[in-house]
Amino acid sequence: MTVDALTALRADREAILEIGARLTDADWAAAPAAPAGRSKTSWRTWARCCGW
Amino acid sequence: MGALLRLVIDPASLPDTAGLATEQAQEVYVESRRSWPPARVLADYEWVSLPAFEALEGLAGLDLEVPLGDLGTYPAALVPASLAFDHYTHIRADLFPPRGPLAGPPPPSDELRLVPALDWIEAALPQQNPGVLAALAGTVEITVTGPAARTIQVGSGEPVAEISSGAPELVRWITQRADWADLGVKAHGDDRQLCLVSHLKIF
Repeated sequence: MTVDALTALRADREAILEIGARLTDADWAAAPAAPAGRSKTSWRTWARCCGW
Repeated sequence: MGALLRLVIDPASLPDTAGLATEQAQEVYVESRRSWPPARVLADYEWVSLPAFEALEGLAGLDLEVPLGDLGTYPAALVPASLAFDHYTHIRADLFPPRGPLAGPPPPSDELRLVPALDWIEAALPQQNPGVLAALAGTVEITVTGPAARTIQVGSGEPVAEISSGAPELVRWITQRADWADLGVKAHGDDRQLCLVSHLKIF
Protein backbone atom coordinates (compact mmCIF):
# COMPACT_ATOMS: atom_id res chain seq x y z
CA MET A 1 0.00 0.00 0.00
CA THR A 2 1.34 3.42 -0.93
CA VAL A 3 0.70 5.96 1.79
CA ASP A 4 1.63 9.62 1.65
CA ALA A 5 3.54 10.53 4.80
CA LEU A 6 1.99 13.99 4.74
CA THR A 7 -1.49 12.46 4.89
CA ALA A 8 -0.36 10.53 7.95
CA LEU A 9 1.08 13.69 9.48
CA ARG A 10 -2.14 15.59 8.95
CA ALA A 11 -4.12 12.75 10.52
CA ASP A 12 -1.83 12.70 13.54
CA ARG A 13 -2.03 16.49 13.80
CA GLU A 14 -5.75 16.14 14.28
CA ALA A 15 -5.13 13.50 16.94
CA ILE A 16 -2.70 15.79 18.76
CA LEU A 17 -5.14 18.67 18.78
CA GLU A 18 -7.95 16.41 20.01
CA ILE A 19 -5.77 15.01 22.78
CA GLY A 20 -4.62 18.48 23.76
CA ALA A 21 -8.16 19.83 23.85
CA ARG A 22 -9.34 17.20 26.31
CA LEU A 23 -6.41 17.42 28.71
CA THR A 24 -7.01 19.16 32.00
CA ASP A 25 -4.50 21.23 33.92
CA ALA A 26 -4.25 18.31 36.34
CA ASP A 27 -3.26 15.99 33.46
CA TRP A 28 -0.48 18.34 32.43
CA ALA A 29 0.69 18.77 36.01
CA ALA A 30 0.83 15.00 36.51
CA ALA A 31 2.78 14.29 33.35
CA PRO A 32 6.39 13.29 33.92
CA ALA A 33 9.08 15.51 32.44
CA ALA A 34 10.04 12.66 30.12
CA PRO A 35 8.96 9.04 29.87
CA ALA A 36 11.34 6.54 31.39
CA GLY A 37 13.39 4.88 28.72
CA ARG A 38 16.04 2.28 28.27
CA SER A 39 19.60 3.42 28.18
CA LYS A 40 21.05 4.13 24.80
CA THR A 41 22.83 1.39 22.93
CA SER A 42 26.47 1.03 23.74
CA TRP A 43 29.11 -1.56 23.17
CA ARG A 44 29.15 -2.16 26.93
CA THR A 45 25.48 -3.18 26.99
CA TRP A 46 26.01 -5.35 23.91
CA ALA A 47 28.92 -7.03 25.56
CA ARG A 48 26.86 -7.78 28.67
CA CYS A 49 23.85 -8.96 26.66
CA CYS A 50 25.83 -11.11 24.27
CA GLY A 51 28.14 -12.55 26.90
CA TRP A 52 31.28 -10.99 25.42
CA MET B 1 7.05 17.94 17.86
CA GLY B 2 6.22 21.62 17.58
CA ALA B 3 9.88 22.53 17.91
CA LEU B 4 10.86 19.98 15.31
CA LEU B 5 8.38 21.46 12.87
CA ARG B 6 9.78 24.92 13.57
CA LEU B 7 13.06 23.58 12.25
CA VAL B 8 11.31 23.26 8.91
CA ILE B 9 9.95 26.77 8.61
CA ASP B 10 11.43 28.95 11.36
CA PRO B 11 14.72 27.57 12.69
CA ALA B 12 15.85 31.00 13.87
CA SER B 13 13.15 30.89 16.54
CA LEU B 14 14.83 27.89 18.22
CA PRO B 15 17.86 27.85 20.52
CA ASP B 16 21.23 27.41 18.86
CA THR B 17 22.11 23.71 18.89
CA ALA B 18 25.05 23.81 16.50
CA GLY B 19 27.36 20.89 17.08
CA LEU B 20 24.86 18.83 19.06
CA ALA B 21 23.56 15.42 18.05
CA THR B 22 19.90 15.29 17.05
CA GLU B 23 18.56 13.85 20.29
CA GLN B 24 20.65 16.26 22.40
CA ALA B 25 19.41 19.16 20.30
CA GLN B 26 15.83 18.09 20.83
CA GLU B 27 16.42 18.04 24.58
CA VAL B 28 17.59 21.65 24.33
CA TYR B 29 14.44 22.60 22.43
CA VAL B 30 12.23 20.88 24.99
CA GLU B 31 14.07 22.48 27.90
CA SER B 32 13.66 25.92 26.35
CA ARG B 33 9.89 25.36 26.38
CA ARG B 34 9.52 23.63 29.73
CA SER B 35 8.20 26.79 31.39
CA TRP B 36 5.53 27.29 28.74
CA PRO B 37 1.96 26.81 29.92
CA PRO B 38 0.25 23.82 28.29
CA ALA B 39 -2.03 25.97 26.16
CA ARG B 40 0.99 27.68 24.61
CA VAL B 41 2.61 24.35 23.76
CA LEU B 42 -0.53 23.23 21.99
CA ALA B 43 -1.12 26.57 20.28
CA ASP B 44 2.45 26.62 19.00
CA TYR B 45 2.05 23.15 17.50
CA GLU B 46 -1.27 24.10 15.95
CA TRP B 47 0.26 27.25 14.45
CA VAL B 48 3.46 25.74 13.11
CA SER B 49 2.25 22.38 11.86
CA LEU B 50 0.24 23.27 8.76
CA PRO B 51 2.82 25.65 7.23
CA ALA B 52 5.51 23.10 8.02
CA PHE B 53 3.55 20.36 6.27
CA GLU B 54 3.17 22.62 3.23
CA ALA B 55 6.91 23.25 3.21
CA LEU B 56 7.57 19.53 3.50
CA GLU B 57 5.24 18.88 0.59
CA GLY B 58 7.36 21.20 -1.53
CA LEU B 59 10.57 19.60 -0.33
CA ALA B 60 9.29 16.11 -1.03
CA GLY B 61 8.85 16.99 -4.69
CA LEU B 62 12.51 17.85 -5.17
CA ASP B 63 15.00 15.43 -6.65
CA LEU B 64 17.84 15.87 -4.19
CA GLU B 65 19.48 14.32 -1.15
CA VAL B 66 18.95 16.02 2.20
CA PRO B 67 21.65 15.71 4.89
CA LEU B 68 20.03 15.39 8.32
CA GLY B 69 23.12 15.27 10.52
CA ASP B 70 23.41 12.11 12.58
CA LEU B 71 20.03 10.91 11.28
CA GLY B 72 21.66 10.25 7.92
CA THR B 73 21.24 11.54 4.36
CA TYR B 74 18.00 10.80 2.55
CA PRO B 75 16.10 11.55 -0.64
CA ALA B 76 13.96 14.64 -0.11
CA ALA B 77 10.83 12.58 -0.75
CA LEU B 78 11.55 10.60 2.42
CA VAL B 79 11.88 13.56 4.81
CA PRO B 80 8.12 13.73 5.58
CA ALA B 81 8.31 10.07 6.61
CA SER B 82 10.88 10.99 9.27
CA LEU B 83 8.35 13.33 10.85
CA ALA B 84 5.49 10.86 10.43
CA PHE B 85 7.63 8.34 12.31
CA ASP B 86 8.37 10.94 14.99
CA HIS B 87 4.70 11.82 15.39
CA TYR B 88 3.59 8.20 15.38
CA THR B 89 6.10 7.21 18.03
CA HIS B 90 5.74 10.11 20.44
CA ILE B 91 1.96 10.21 20.36
CA ARG B 92 1.40 6.52 20.90
CA ALA B 93 4.46 5.21 22.70
CA ASP B 94 5.20 8.18 24.96
CA LEU B 95 1.79 9.65 25.79
CA PHE B 96 -0.25 6.48 26.32
CA PRO B 97 0.21 3.30 28.39
CA PRO B 98 2.28 1.37 29.13
CA ARG B 99 4.90 4.17 29.13
CA GLY B 100 2.85 7.32 28.96
CA PRO B 101 0.64 9.10 31.50
CA LEU B 102 -2.62 9.49 29.57
CA ALA B 103 -5.61 7.24 30.01
CA GLY B 104 -7.79 5.93 27.23
CA PRO B 105 -7.07 4.48 23.82
CA PRO B 106 -4.28 6.02 21.72
CA PRO B 107 -4.93 7.24 18.18
CA PRO B 108 -5.15 4.50 15.53
CA SER B 109 -2.18 2.39 14.52
CA ASP B 110 -3.28 1.58 10.99
CA GLU B 111 -1.80 1.41 7.51
CA LEU B 112 -2.13 5.16 7.09
CA ARG B 113 0.10 5.90 10.07
CA LEU B 114 2.32 2.83 10.12
CA VAL B 115 3.44 2.65 6.48
CA PRO B 116 5.34 5.98 6.60
CA ALA B 117 6.72 5.17 10.05
CA LEU B 118 8.08 1.86 8.79
CA ASP B 119 9.32 3.46 5.56
CA TRP B 120 11.49 5.66 7.74
CA ILE B 121 12.67 2.75 9.88
CA GLU B 122 13.69 0.81 6.79
CA ALA B 123 15.54 3.74 5.25
CA ALA B 124 17.21 4.88 8.46
CA LEU B 125 18.25 1.50 9.76
CA PRO B 126 21.52 1.14 7.81
CA GLN B 127 22.61 4.74 8.33
CA GLN B 128 21.83 4.87 12.05
CA ASN B 129 23.22 1.45 12.96
CA PRO B 130 26.55 0.95 11.21
CA GLY B 131 28.06 -0.68 14.29
CA VAL B 132 25.38 -3.35 14.54
CA LEU B 133 25.49 -4.06 10.83
CA ALA B 134 29.27 -4.37 10.87
CA ALA B 135 29.10 -6.82 13.75
CA LEU B 136 26.43 -9.08 12.22
CA ALA B 137 27.70 -12.34 10.79
CA GLY B 138 24.85 -12.72 8.30
CA THR B 139 21.33 -11.67 7.41
CA VAL B 140 18.58 -11.32 9.98
CA GLU B 141 15.12 -11.22 8.43
CA ILE B 142 12.46 -9.18 10.21
CA THR B 143 8.96 -10.17 9.13
CA VAL B 144 6.48 -7.43 9.97
CA THR B 145 2.94 -8.74 10.30
CA GLY B 146 -0.41 -6.94 10.23
CA PRO B 147 -0.74 -3.32 9.06
CA ALA B 148 2.31 -2.10 7.08
CA ALA B 149 3.41 -5.72 6.62
CA ARG B 150 6.75 -6.21 4.93
CA THR B 151 10.06 -7.99 5.26
CA ILE B 152 13.13 -6.06 6.36
CA GLN B 153 16.56 -7.57 5.76
CA VAL B 154 19.22 -6.57 8.26
CA GLY B 155 22.82 -7.30 7.35
CA SER B 156 24.03 -9.36 4.43
CA GLY B 157 25.14 -12.87 3.65
CA GLU B 158 23.76 -16.18 4.85
CA PRO B 159 20.58 -16.12 6.96
CA VAL B 160 21.42 -16.34 10.66
CA ALA B 161 18.14 -15.48 12.40
CA GLU B 162 14.50 -14.55 11.90
CA ILE B 163 12.26 -12.17 13.81
CA SER B 164 8.50 -11.77 13.56
CA SER B 165 6.93 -8.60 14.92
CA GLY B 166 3.81 -6.53 14.49
CA ALA B 167 4.47 -3.04 13.16
CA PRO B 168 3.44 -1.15 16.34
CA GLU B 169 5.64 -3.51 18.33
CA LEU B 170 8.53 -2.97 15.90
CA VAL B 171 8.31 0.77 16.44
CA ARG B 172 8.55 0.26 20.19
CA TRP B 173 11.50 -2.13 20.26
CA ILE B 174 13.51 -0.51 17.50
CA THR B 175 13.30 2.82 19.29
CA GLN B 176 14.47 1.02 22.44
CA ARG B 177 11.23 1.74 24.27
CA ALA B 178 10.48 -1.90 25.08
CA ASP B 179 11.98 -5.36 25.04
CA TRP B 180 10.97 -8.20 22.73
CA ALA B 181 9.70 -10.24 25.66
CA ASP B 182 7.26 -7.49 26.64
CA LEU B 183 5.90 -7.23 23.09
CA GLY B 184 5.48 -10.85 22.06
CA VAL B 185 8.14 -10.60 19.39
CA LYS B 186 9.16 -14.02 18.07
CA ALA B 187 12.84 -14.59 17.39
CA HIS B 188 14.63 -17.70 16.15
CA GLY B 189 18.21 -18.36 15.20
CA ASP B 190 21.69 -17.50 16.38
CA ASP B 191 21.39 -15.96 19.86
CA ARG B 192 24.40 -13.72 19.43
CA GLN B 193 23.09 -12.26 16.19
CA LEU B 194 19.66 -11.79 17.71
CA CYS B 195 21.24 -9.99 20.64
CA LEU B 196 22.94 -7.59 18.26
CA VAL B 197 19.69 -6.92 16.38
CA SER B 198 17.84 -6.30 19.64
CA HIS B 199 20.09 -3.25 20.06
CA LEU B 200 19.19 -1.61 16.76
CA LYS B 201 18.05 1.94 17.38
CA ILE B 202 16.11 4.23 15.08
CA PHE B 203 15.46 7.87 15.84
